[in-house]
Amino acid sequence: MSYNNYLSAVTRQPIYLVEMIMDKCPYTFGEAPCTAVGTKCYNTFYTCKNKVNYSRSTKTYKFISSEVNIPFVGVLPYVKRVNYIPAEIKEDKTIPARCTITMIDDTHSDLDVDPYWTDRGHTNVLSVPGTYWRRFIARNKNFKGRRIIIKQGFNGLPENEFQKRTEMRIENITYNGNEAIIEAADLLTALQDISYPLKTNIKIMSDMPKILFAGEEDNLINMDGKIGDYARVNIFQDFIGLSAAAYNSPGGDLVTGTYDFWVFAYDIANRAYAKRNFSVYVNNENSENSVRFDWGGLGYLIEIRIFTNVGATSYISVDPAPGYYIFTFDNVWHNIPNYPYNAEIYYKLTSFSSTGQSVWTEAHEAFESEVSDASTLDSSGYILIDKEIIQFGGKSGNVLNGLIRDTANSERHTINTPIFILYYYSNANPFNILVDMLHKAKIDDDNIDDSFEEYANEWEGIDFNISAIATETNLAVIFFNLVNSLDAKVWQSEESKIKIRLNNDIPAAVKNVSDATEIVDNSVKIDCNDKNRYTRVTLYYNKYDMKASITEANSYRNVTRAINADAESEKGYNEVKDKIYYSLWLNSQYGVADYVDTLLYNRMRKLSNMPIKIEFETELKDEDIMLGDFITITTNEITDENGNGYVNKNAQIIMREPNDNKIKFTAEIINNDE
Amino acid sequence: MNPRIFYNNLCIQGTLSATDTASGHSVYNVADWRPYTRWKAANASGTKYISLTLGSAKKANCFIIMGHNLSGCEITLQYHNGTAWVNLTTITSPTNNDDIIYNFSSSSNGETRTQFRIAIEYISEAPEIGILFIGEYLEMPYPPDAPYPRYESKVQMKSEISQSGNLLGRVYKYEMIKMNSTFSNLDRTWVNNNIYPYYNNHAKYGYPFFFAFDLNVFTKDIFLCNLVDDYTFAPSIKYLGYYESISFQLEGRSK
Repeated sequence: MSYNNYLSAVTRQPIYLVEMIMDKCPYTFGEAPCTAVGTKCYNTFYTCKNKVNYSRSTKTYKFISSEVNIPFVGVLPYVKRVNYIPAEIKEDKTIPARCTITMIDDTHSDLDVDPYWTDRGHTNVLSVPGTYWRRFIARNKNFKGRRIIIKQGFNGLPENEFQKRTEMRIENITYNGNEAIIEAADLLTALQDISYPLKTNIKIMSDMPKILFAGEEDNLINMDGKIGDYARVNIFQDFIGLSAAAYNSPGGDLVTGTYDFWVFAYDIANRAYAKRNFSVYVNNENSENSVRFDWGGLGYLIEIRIFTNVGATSYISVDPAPGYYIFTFDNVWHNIPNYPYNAEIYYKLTSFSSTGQSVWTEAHEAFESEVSDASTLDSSGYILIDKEIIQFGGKSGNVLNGLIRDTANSERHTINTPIFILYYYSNANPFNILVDMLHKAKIDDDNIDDSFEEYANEWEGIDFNISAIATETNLAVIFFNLVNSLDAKVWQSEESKIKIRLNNDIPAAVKNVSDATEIVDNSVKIDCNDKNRYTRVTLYYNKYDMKASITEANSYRNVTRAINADAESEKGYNEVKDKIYYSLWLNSQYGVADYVDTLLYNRMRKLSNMPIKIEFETELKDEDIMLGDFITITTNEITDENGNGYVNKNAQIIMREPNDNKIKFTAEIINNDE
Repeated sequence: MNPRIFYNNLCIQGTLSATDTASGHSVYNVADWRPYTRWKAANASGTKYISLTLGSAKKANCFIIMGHNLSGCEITLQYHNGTAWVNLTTITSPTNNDDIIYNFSSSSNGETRTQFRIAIEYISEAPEIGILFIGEYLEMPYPPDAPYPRYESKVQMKSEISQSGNLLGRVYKYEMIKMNSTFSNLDRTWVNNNIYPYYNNHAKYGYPFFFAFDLNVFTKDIFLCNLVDDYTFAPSIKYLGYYESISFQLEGRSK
């Protein structure tokens, strides 16, 4: 008989199979590369006598329900009870699932557990000291974070046909009398373990100067600095020697008209420090069809960027070497250019005069800093040193280069100061960003559902990005903030895959659940869910102050609100209930305004008519209904305004709690008038 | 046949070895009274032996195997007479997947030796054994006081019905076997020499043992059991060299 045959049989004996995947060293005690001597270890890290040569492999311990006769070898019947605290898919987050597994303890012989049993002088299998779980805990102290897998099967079913029902991370093991209780949580909890700013062992290898803000060059003399400090002047120098004039070029195809240009000089540190503006009239009647720029020498010049109001939103990058450039028709026509508004001319305090005045010298070198180990850093990003946020544009070995200092909050930093990593992401496909975050939490692709890739491939919406977050938070908050900004839900399925579904993507129902054939007698409860009904929805986005808390409304540039006026009226609910969202991922990217409008419209529709929750139980035979599934419900426990019971009403499972021979479900009714 | 208790397993008292062993399935698993920890051979070829070497000669007149996959195999208990291996008793394992198989010596008293072994032949897959008992049975002098139930069977099940009254399903949890028996007017000397060693050296520590009421009549009624948790051992002495009675309350798992 197959699993499904057993499931649908009238009488059957279900069995839990619990697998704990613990660390184990693959080497043999005292044999190369292990150089340990003396009393033998147990091939675990905490019993290792030669830790420098310890290698981390795994060993799977298998346990089954204690009530059954052993159906196959290699398992111990220690599973007394499995209790679930189920995952709950809520409107704006998912509460991860947890469970406790109570294991019976036993005076196990330690055979096939202790790899060196015969070498320890045991003379009687019944006289080995200790008990199974006491020894297990003593040998495997680093159990936290290791995986535990719970499978469901039936007596008579081969082991390889047992179905995986969850995979979790072990959080704790307690011992109570003659029972060991294992506490575990689903894989999404790994996101909570990563806190930002992320503490590291990385340190700066030299002192870093302070960056002062002078504004104008005349203010430099009054700046209070130390030798080595820098000061920023934000007035552009004139781009000396640069000229622009209409021109006749074989490749030119500009039509008659006036063309405006903003031309900037950039130094080796990628800073704009000089500029000149031009308005050039091109007259086709004079055979003019292009604009020619000419320039002479300008100190520190590495790159010229030409911005124009009839060109691309990005600039035209020009190599200074030839000394000229001919501008012709650019096929890409967009709107106002996004050129730099402030210069970045840095002066370095090099000495003090005999009268004590500071002597500042123009400096164009790029800012960089050597750290103790840059290997774990991304190729670019943001770091926090003391209280200063610093952006780095690249790295070469252990040198972080292209540093952009926070001149408003710059401080001197002393050698060996540790650095913190800030979470940051530039424009990207949001589903790929979510997968990247799961990878950061060490959730690998085996536990990530294909739905992420499918949505990523189909996505035609806006890119998402996030500025460097300097307020204390964890990756779970950042993750679900993005999920929420996508108007989606994420959860861990029973097959232990992290799944995602957009709220407007409603698939066909997997099953109909009815009073007659699925719902256990007296198990139905209805929640009208009024506490989750709102009359307006507000979204704050485009956060600019990354040190402010996520819910600090004043740290966002934009706010948009949708209001259901009927709901707020005297004839409606006669109250104002505002659901407020704060998005870290919706900023100033192209198309964000339209996206926000659509998002709030959909949210308002749903939240102003909050779906009813229905809780019911089924017998084990219906355990193929999974968390997140869509079903239809037929029941007389809830009726329409005419008193007729629900028939094939659409609903989504938002909570699933196995409980011995039953499963308790909570489903959210999908309103057809949404 | 009178009730028999099988507790004095020689496999615990000597050194075991096997023809071959699959990794993670030590041959000593057959001696720990747990049917769920098993010896398993490395392959399914040839005749497999599990050999027992004792420090001093001891008596064996039977073997029992519980937890196995030996359907259709021929299993022989042998002893070494100093020169060669000699068959003591042979059984062909039935193909009905009975969890427990056993056999007793055809000679009335078995053999007292330092070396015993079982030979397993005609195997079709790598053999596995959960418990191997080689030793001498303790036979009660007569049946228990009548009437007595063969055993009590208590089944744990849970059923659910739908809102409309339909049976949705039943989950079978387990079956517990209970056996209660009282033996009256036992000879005091016999009790002192047989029951007290059984209790003091084995049963009072909670170690399991095999028990059978009457294998001639109830051929399948052999159970792995133990004394109940709150058992009180209280043989009451009577006059004329007898014990008034001894009661056993046993519990075990169904096969």
